[in-house]
Amino acid sequence: MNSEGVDLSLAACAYELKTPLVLMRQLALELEKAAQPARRAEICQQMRLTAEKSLRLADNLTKAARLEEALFEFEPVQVAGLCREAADEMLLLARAKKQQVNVRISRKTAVCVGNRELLKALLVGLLDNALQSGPENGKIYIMTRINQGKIELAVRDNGPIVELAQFRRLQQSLGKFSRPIAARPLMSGLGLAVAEKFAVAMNGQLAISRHHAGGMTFRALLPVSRQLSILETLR
Amino acid sequence: MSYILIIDSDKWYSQSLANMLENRSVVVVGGPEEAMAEIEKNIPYMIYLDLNLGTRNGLTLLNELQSWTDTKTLPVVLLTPEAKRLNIKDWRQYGVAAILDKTGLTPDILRESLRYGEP
Repeated sequence: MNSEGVDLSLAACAYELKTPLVLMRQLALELEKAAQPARRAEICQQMRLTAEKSLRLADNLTKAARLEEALFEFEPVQVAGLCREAADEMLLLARAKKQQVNVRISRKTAVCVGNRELLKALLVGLLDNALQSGPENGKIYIMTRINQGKIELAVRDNGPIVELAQFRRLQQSLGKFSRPIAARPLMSGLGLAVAEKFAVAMNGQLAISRHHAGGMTFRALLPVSRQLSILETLR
Repeated sequence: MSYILIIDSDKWYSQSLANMLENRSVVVVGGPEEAMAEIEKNIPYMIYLDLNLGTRNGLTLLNELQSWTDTKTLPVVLLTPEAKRLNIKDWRQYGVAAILDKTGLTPDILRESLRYGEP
Protein backbone atom coordinates (compact mmCIF):
# COMPACT_ATOMS: atom_id res chain seq x y z
CA MET A 1 0.00 0.00 0.00
CA ASN A 2 1.53 3.35 -0.93
CA SER A 3 1.12 6.55 1.03
CA GLU A 4 -2.01 7.51 -0.89
CA GLY A 5 -3.59 4.23 0.09
CA VAL A 6 -4.13 2.78 -3.38
CA ASP A 7 -3.31 -0.88 -3.17
CA LEU A 8 -0.99 -1.69 -6.01
CA SER A 9 -0.02 -4.88 -4.32
CA LEU A 10 2.59 -7.22 -5.70
CA ALA A 11 -0.05 -9.95 -5.99
CA ALA A 12 -2.33 -7.74 -8.08
CA CYS A 13 0.57 -6.67 -10.32
CA ALA A 14 1.69 -10.27 -10.70
CA TYR A 15 -1.77 -11.44 -11.71
CA GLU A 16 -2.31 -8.64 -14.21
CA LEU A 17 1.06 -9.15 -15.83
CA LYS A 18 0.70 -12.94 -15.92
CA THR A 19 -2.49 -12.88 -17.98
CA PRO A 20 -1.03 -11.37 -21.19
CA LEU A 21 2.04 -13.59 -20.83
CA VAL A 22 -0.20 -16.66 -20.75
CA LEU A 23 -1.82 -15.43 -23.96
CA MET A 24 1.54 -14.78 -25.64
CA ARG A 25 2.75 -18.23 -24.69
CA GLN A 26 -0.36 -19.83 -26.12
CA LEU A 27 -0.03 -17.85 -29.34
CA ALA A 28 3.64 -18.84 -29.61
CA LEU A 29 2.68 -22.52 -29.21
CA GLU A 30 0.21 -22.20 -32.04
CA LEU A 31 2.68 -20.24 -34.18
CA GLU A 32 5.15 -23.14 -34.03
CA LYS A 33 2.65 -25.34 -35.84
CA ALA A 34 0.57 -22.89 -37.84
CA ALA A 35 0.88 -23.52 -41.56
CA GLN A 36 -1.39 -20.88 -43.06
CA PRO A 37 0.46 -17.60 -43.76
CA ALA A 38 -2.64 -15.54 -42.97
CA ARG A 39 -3.01 -17.16 -39.57
CA ARG A 40 0.73 -16.80 -38.89
CA ALA A 41 0.50 -13.08 -39.66
CA GLU A 42 -2.56 -12.75 -37.44
CA ILE A 43 -0.81 -14.51 -34.55
CA CYS A 44 2.24 -12.25 -34.88
CA GLN A 45 0.04 -9.18 -34.78
CA GLN A 46 -1.83 -10.45 -31.74
CA MET A 47 1.45 -11.16 -29.96
CA ARG A 48 2.74 -7.70 -30.74
CA LEU A 49 -0.47 -5.99 -29.57
CA THR A 50 -0.52 -8.06 -26.39
CA ALA A 51 3.10 -7.19 -25.65
CA GLU A 52 2.39 -3.49 -26.25
CA LYS A 53 -0.54 -3.64 -23.86
CA SER A 54 1.64 -5.20 -21.17
CA LEU A 55 4.28 -2.54 -21.74
CA ARG A 56 1.62 0.14 -21.27
CA LEU A 57 0.61 -1.38 -17.98
CA ALA A 58 4.22 -1.67 -16.84
CA ASP A 59 4.79 1.95 -17.87
CA ASN A 60 1.72 3.06 -15.95
CA LEU A 61 2.92 1.26 -12.86
CA THR A 62 6.20 3.15 -13.13
CA LYS A 63 4.32 6.43 -13.47
CA ALA A 64 2.14 5.52 -10.49
CA ALA A 65 5.28 4.88 -8.43
CA ARG A 66 6.71 8.26 -9.45
CA LEU A 67 3.60 10.23 -8.52
CA GLU A 68 4.73 10.57 -4.95
CA GLU A 69 7.95 12.22 -6.09
CA ALA A 70 5.84 15.01 -7.64
CA LEU A 71 7.66 14.65 -10.95
CA PHE A 72 4.60 15.45 -13.03
CA GLU A 73 3.84 19.08 -13.70
CA PHE A 74 0.36 20.33 -14.31
CA GLU A 75 -0.67 22.54 -17.22
CA PRO A 76 -3.73 23.36 -19.31
CA VAL A 77 -4.45 20.41 -21.62
CA GLN A 78 -6.62 20.55 -24.72
CA VAL A 79 -8.93 17.58 -24.29
CA ALA A 80 -10.08 17.32 -27.92
CA GLY A 81 -6.58 16.71 -29.23
CA LEU A 82 -5.80 14.34 -26.39
CA CYS A 83 -8.90 12.21 -27.02
CA ARG A 84 -8.13 11.95 -30.73
CA GLU A 85 -4.54 11.04 -29.97
CA ALA A 86 -5.63 8.29 -27.60
CA ALA A 87 -8.10 6.95 -30.18
CA ASP A 88 -5.36 6.95 -32.87
CA GLU A 89 -2.97 5.11 -30.59
CA MET A 90 -5.50 2.34 -30.05
CA LEU A 91 -6.59 2.12 -33.68
CA LEU A 92 -4.56 -0.99 -34.49
CA LEU A 93 -5.76 -2.83 -31.41
CA ALA A 94 -9.35 -1.78 -32.09
CA ARG A 95 -9.10 -3.15 -35.64
CA ALA A 96 -7.58 -6.40 -34.42
CA LYS A 97 -10.46 -6.73 -31.94
CA LYS A 98 -12.91 -5.79 -34.72
CA GLN A 99 -14.25 -2.84 -32.78
CA GLN A 100 -14.61 0.84 -33.49
CA VAL A 101 -13.51 3.77 -31.35
CA ASN A 102 -15.52 6.96 -31.81
CA VAL A 103 -14.61 10.34 -30.38
CA ARG A 104 -17.35 12.76 -29.37
CA ILE A 105 -16.11 16.10 -28.15
CA SER A 106 -18.48 18.60 -26.65
CA ARG A 107 -17.81 22.11 -27.96
CA LYS A 108 -17.66 23.50 -24.45
CA THR A 109 -15.02 21.16 -23.07
CA ALA A 110 -11.88 22.91 -24.16
CA VAL A 111 -9.17 22.70 -21.56
CA CYS A 112 -8.59 20.92 -18.31
CA VAL A 113 -5.79 21.18 -15.78
CA GLY A 114 -3.59 18.15 -15.59
CA ASN A 115 -0.49 16.42 -16.80
CA ARG A 116 -0.70 15.48 -20.46
CA GLU A 117 1.29 12.27 -20.05
CA LEU A 118 -0.83 11.05 -17.14
CA LEU A 119 -4.07 12.07 -18.81
CA LYS A 120 -3.23 10.21 -21.96
CA ALA A 121 -2.16 7.15 -19.96
CA LEU A 122 -5.45 7.28 -18.05
CA LEU A 123 -7.50 7.54 -21.23
CA VAL A 124 -5.55 4.83 -23.05
CA GLY A 125 -5.92 2.60 -20.00
CA LEU A 126 -9.69 3.00 -20.05
CA LEU A 127 -9.69 2.29 -23.78
CA ASP A 128 -7.61 -0.87 -23.23
CA ASN A 129 -10.22 -2.00 -20.74
CA ALA A 130 -13.11 -1.19 -23.07
CA LEU A 131 -11.54 -3.01 -26.02
CA GLN A 132 -10.94 -6.07 -23.89
CA SER A 133 -14.52 -6.34 -22.71
CA GLY A 134 -16.40 -5.21 -25.80
CA PRO A 135 -17.81 -7.62 -28.38
CA GLU A 136 -16.75 -7.82 -32.02
CA ASN A 137 -18.36 -5.14 -34.18
CA GLY A 138 -18.93 -3.17 -31.00
CA LYS A 139 -18.47 0.56 -30.68
CA ILE A 140 -16.56 2.35 -28.00
CA TYR A 141 -17.10 6.03 -27.38
CA ILE A 142 -14.71 8.59 -25.96
CA MET A 143 -16.82 11.51 -24.83
CA THR A 144 -16.23 14.83 -23.18
CA ARG A 145 -18.56 17.28 -21.48
CA ILE A 146 -18.79 19.68 -18.58
CA ASN A 147 -20.25 17.92 -15.56
CA GLN A 148 -20.80 19.71 -12.26
CA GLY A 149 -18.23 22.34 -13.11
CA LYS A 150 -15.59 19.80 -14.07
CA ILE A 151 -14.40 18.40 -17.36
CA GLU A 152 -15.54 14.84 -17.81
CA LEU A 153 -13.58 12.45 -20.00
CA ALA A 154 -15.62 9.31 -20.46
CA VAL A 155 -15.09 5.96 -22.14
CA ARG A 156 -18.24 3.98 -22.87
CA ASP A 157 -18.19 0.36 -24.01
CA ASN A 158 -20.91 -2.13 -24.84
CA GLY A 159 -19.46 -5.15 -23.09
CA PRO A 160 -21.48 -7.73 -21.16
CA ILE A 161 -24.08 -6.83 -18.57
CA VAL A 162 -22.42 -6.23 -15.22
CA GLU A 163 -24.26 -7.83 -12.34
CA LEU A 164 -25.49 -5.36 -9.75
CA ALA A 165 -23.58 -6.95 -6.88
CA GLN A 166 -20.33 -6.80 -8.83
CA PHE A 167 -21.03 -3.21 -9.86
CA ARG A 168 -21.71 -2.16 -6.26
CA ARG A 169 -18.43 -3.73 -5.14
CA LEU A 170 -16.62 -1.87 -7.88
CA GLN A 171 -18.29 1.42 -6.96
CA GLN A 172 -17.39 0.95 -3.33
CA SER A 173 -13.79 0.26 -4.18
CA LEU A 174 -13.44 3.61 -5.98
CA GLY A 175 -12.54 6.55 -3.83
CA LYS A 176 -11.59 4.32 -0.97
CA PHE A 177 -8.29 3.25 -2.42
CA SER A 178 -9.10 -0.28 -1.43
CA ARG A 179 -7.71 -3.44 -2.95
CA PRO A 180 -8.32 -3.50 -6.70
CA ILE A 181 -10.77 -6.14 -7.77
CA ALA A 182 -11.18 -7.82 -11.11
CA ALA A 183 -13.85 -5.61 -12.56
CA ARG A 184 -13.83 -6.93 -16.03
CA PRO A 185 -12.38 -9.86 -17.83
CA LEU A 186 -8.64 -9.84 -17.98
CA MET A 187 -7.34 -7.09 -15.82
CA SER A 188 -8.80 -3.79 -14.96
CA GLY A 189 -8.54 -4.50 -11.31
CA LEU A 190 -5.05 -3.07 -11.46
CA GLY A 191 -5.73 -0.92 -14.51
CA LEU A 192 -8.64 0.73 -12.74
CA ALA A 193 -6.63 1.33 -9.59
CA VAL A 194 -3.88 2.98 -11.63
CA ALA A 195 -6.39 5.11 -13.59
CA GLU A 196 -7.93 6.28 -10.35
CA LYS A 197 -4.52 7.06 -8.91
CA PHE A 198 -3.76 9.25 -11.95
CA ALA A 199 -7.10 11.04 -11.70
CA VAL A 200 -6.64 11.74 -8.00
CA ALA A 201 -3.08 12.98 -8.58
CA MET A 202 -4.56 15.61 -10.91
CA ASN A 203 -7.14 16.66 -8.30
CA GLY A 204 -9.81 14.69 -10.08
CA GLN A 205 -11.75 11.50 -9.53
CA LEU A 206 -12.93 8.39 -11.33
CA ALA A 207 -16.60 7.42 -11.51
CA ILE A 208 -18.41 4.55 -13.15
CA SER A 209 -21.88 3.70 -14.35
CA ARG A 210 -23.29 0.53 -15.80
CA HIS A 211 -25.83 0.16 -18.55
CA HIS A 212 -28.79 -2.16 -18.44
CA ALA A 213 -28.27 -3.19 -22.04
CA GLY A 214 -24.67 -4.05 -21.21
CA GLY A 215 -21.36 -2.29 -20.87
CA MET A 216 -20.07 0.41 -18.62
CA THR A 217 -18.93 4.00 -18.73
CA PHE A 218 -15.78 5.01 -16.91
CA ARG A 219 -15.52 8.74 -16.27
CA ALA A 220 -12.60 10.87 -15.18
CA LEU A 221 -13.71 14.22 -13.71
CA LEU A 222 -10.98 16.84 -13.84
CA PRO A 223 -10.57 20.52 -13.00
CA VAL A 224 -11.36 22.99 -15.76
CA SER A 225 -8.58 25.33 -16.78
CA ARG A 226 -9.68 28.91 -16.28
CA GLN A 227 -6.64 30.38 -18.07
CA LEU A 228 -7.84 29.95 -21.64
CA SER A 229 -11.43 30.65 -20.72
CA ILE A 230 -10.26 33.99 -19.30
CA LEU A 231 -8.47 34.72 -22.59
CA GLU A 232 -11.67 33.84 -24.45
CA THR A 233 -13.66 36.39 -22.43
CA LEU A 234 -11.08 39.10 -23.14
CA ARG A 235 -11.45 38.74 -26.92
CA MET B 1 -23.19 -33.39 -34.15
CA SER B 2 -21.59 -32.97 -30.75
CA TYR B 3 -18.71 -30.66 -30.10
CA ILE B 4 -16.23 -29.28 -27.58
CA LEU B 5 -17.26 -26.01 -25.93
CA ILE B 6 -14.54 -23.54 -24.90
CA ILE B 7 -15.57 -20.76 -22.52
CA ASP B 8 -12.97 -18.04 -22.05
CA SER B 9 -13.36 -14.28 -21.94
CA ASP B 10 -10.15 -13.82 -23.95
CA LYS B 11 -11.21 -14.42 -27.51
CA TRP B 12 -7.65 -14.59 -28.86
CA TYR B 13 -6.74 -17.23 -26.29
CA SER B 14 -9.81 -19.35 -26.87
CA GLN B 15 -9.47 -19.15 -30.65
CA SER B 16 -5.85 -20.25 -30.42
CA LEU B 17 -6.84 -23.14 -28.16
CA ALA B 18 -9.57 -24.14 -30.60
CA ASN B 19 -7.02 -24.15 -33.43
CA MET B 20 -4.90 -26.59 -31.45
CA LEU B 21 -7.85 -28.97 -31.19
CA GLU B 22 -7.60 -29.63 -34.89
CA ASN B 23 -10.00 -32.00 -36.66
CA ARG B 24 -12.56 -31.55 -33.90
CA SER B 25 -15.75 -29.58 -33.85
CA VAL B 26 -15.22 -26.67 -31.45
CA VAL B 27 -17.46 -23.78 -30.37
CA VAL B 28 -15.94 -20.79 -28.61
CA VAL B 29 -17.90 -18.41 -26.35
CA GLY B 30 -16.95 -15.61 -23.99
CA GLY B 31 -19.18 -16.18 -20.98
CA PRO B 32 -21.81 -18.22 -19.12
CA GLU B 33 -24.87 -16.81 -20.92
CA GLU B 34 -23.50 -17.58 -24.36
CA ALA B 35 -22.39 -20.99 -23.10
CA MET B 36 -25.89 -21.89 -21.89
CA ALA B 37 -27.36 -20.67 -25.17
CA GLU B 38 -25.09 -23.07 -27.07
CA ILE B 39 -25.76 -25.93 -24.64
CA GLU B 40 -29.49 -25.48 -25.03
CA LYS B 41 -29.15 -25.83 -28.81
CA ASN B 42 -26.94 -28.89 -28.57
CA ILE B 43 -25.09 -30.44 -25.65
CA PRO B 44 -21.29 -30.60 -26.07
CA TYR B 45 -19.36 -33.71 -25.10
CA MET B 46 -16.92 -31.73 -23.00
CA ILE B 47 -16.21 -28.20 -21.83
CA TYR B 48 -13.02 -26.25 -21.32
CA LEU B 49 -13.74 -23.42 -18.89
CA ASP B 50 -11.70 -20.50 -17.64
CA LEU B 51 -12.97 -19.77 -14.14
CA ASN B 52 -12.14 -16.10 -14.25
CA LEU B 53 -14.67 -14.58 -16.59
CA GLY B 54 -14.50 -11.21 -14.88
CA THR B 55 -17.91 -9.95 -13.91
CA ARG B 56 -19.38 -13.26 -14.97
CA ASN B 57 -18.19 -16.02 -12.74
CA GLY B 58 -17.36 -19.48 -14.09
CA LEU B 59 -18.65 -20.98 -10.85
CA THR B 60 -22.14 -19.71 -11.69
CA LEU B 61 -22.03 -21.75 -14.86
CA LEU B 62 -20.81 -24.86 -13.05
CA ASN B 63 -23.70 -24.61 -10.60
CA GLU B 64 -26.12 -24.14 -13.48
CA LEU B 65 -24.81 -27.26 -15.20
CA GLN B 66 -25.14 -29.28 -12.02
CA SER B 67 -28.77 -28.30 -11.62
CA TRP B 68 -29.93 -30.05 -14.81
CA THR B 69 -29.98 -33.83 -15.26
CA ASP B 70 -28.82 -33.67 -18.88
CA THR B 71 -25.80 -31.49 -18.12
CA LYS B 72 -24.89 -32.76 -14.67
CA THR B 73 -22.44 -35.35 -15.98
CA LEU B 74 -20.90 -33.15 -18.64
CA PRO B 75 -17.13 -33.32 -18.14
CA VAL B 76 -15.57 -29.92 -17.48
CA VAL B 77 -11.86 -29.19 -17.69
CA LEU B 78 -10.86 -25.99 -15.92
CA LEU B 79 -8.22 -23.80 -17.55
CA THR B 80 -6.58 -21.31 -15.24
CA PRO B 81 -3.20 -19.68 -14.59
CA GLU B 82 -3.86 -20.30 -10.89
CA ALA B 83 -4.07 -24.09 -11.19
CA LYS B 84 -1.37 -24.62 -8.58
CA ARG B 85 -3.61 -23.04 -5.96
CA LEU B 86 -6.62 -25.21 -6.72
CA ASN B 87 -7.35 -28.68 -5.42
CA ILE B 88 -9.29 -30.93 -7.82
CA LYS B 89 -11.07 -32.55 -4.86
CA ASP B 90 -12.83 -29.24 -4.15
CA TRP B 91 -14.10 -29.09 -7.73
CA ARG B 92 -15.31 -32.60 -8.49
CA GLN B 93 -18.74 -31.79 -7.05
CA TYR B 94 -19.10 -29.29 -9.90
CA GLY B 95 -18.42 -31.89 -12.55
CA VAL B 96 -14.80 -30.85 -12.98
CA ALA B 97 -12.73 -33.70 -14.37
CA ALA B 98 -9.36 -31.96 -14.43
CA ILE B 99 -7.65 -28.63 -13.87
CA LEU B 100 -5.10 -27.53 -16.45
CA ASP B 101 -2.50 -24.89 -15.81
CA LYS B 102 -2.60 -22.26 -18.55
CA THR B 103 0.98 -21.24 -17.76
CA GLY B 104 2.30 -24.70 -18.64
CA LEU B 105 -0.18 -25.98 -21.19
CA THR B 106 1.30 -27.84 -24.18
CA PRO B 107 -0.33 -29.46 -27.23
CA ASP B 108 0.39 -32.88 -25.68
CA ILE B 109 -1.29 -32.00 -22.38
CA LEU B 110 -4.26 -30.60 -24.25
CA ARG B 111 -4.54 -33.73 -26.40
CA GLU B 112 -4.31 -35.91 -23.30
CA SER B 113 -7.15 -33.99 -21.67
CA LEU B 114 -9.49 -34.93 -24.52
CA ARG B 115 -9.92 -38.35 -22.92
CA TYR B 116 -12.20 -36.77 -20.33
CA GLY B 117 -14.72 -36.26 -23.07
CA GLU B 118 -14.60 -39.83 -24.27
CA PRO B 119 -17.64 -41.98 -23.43
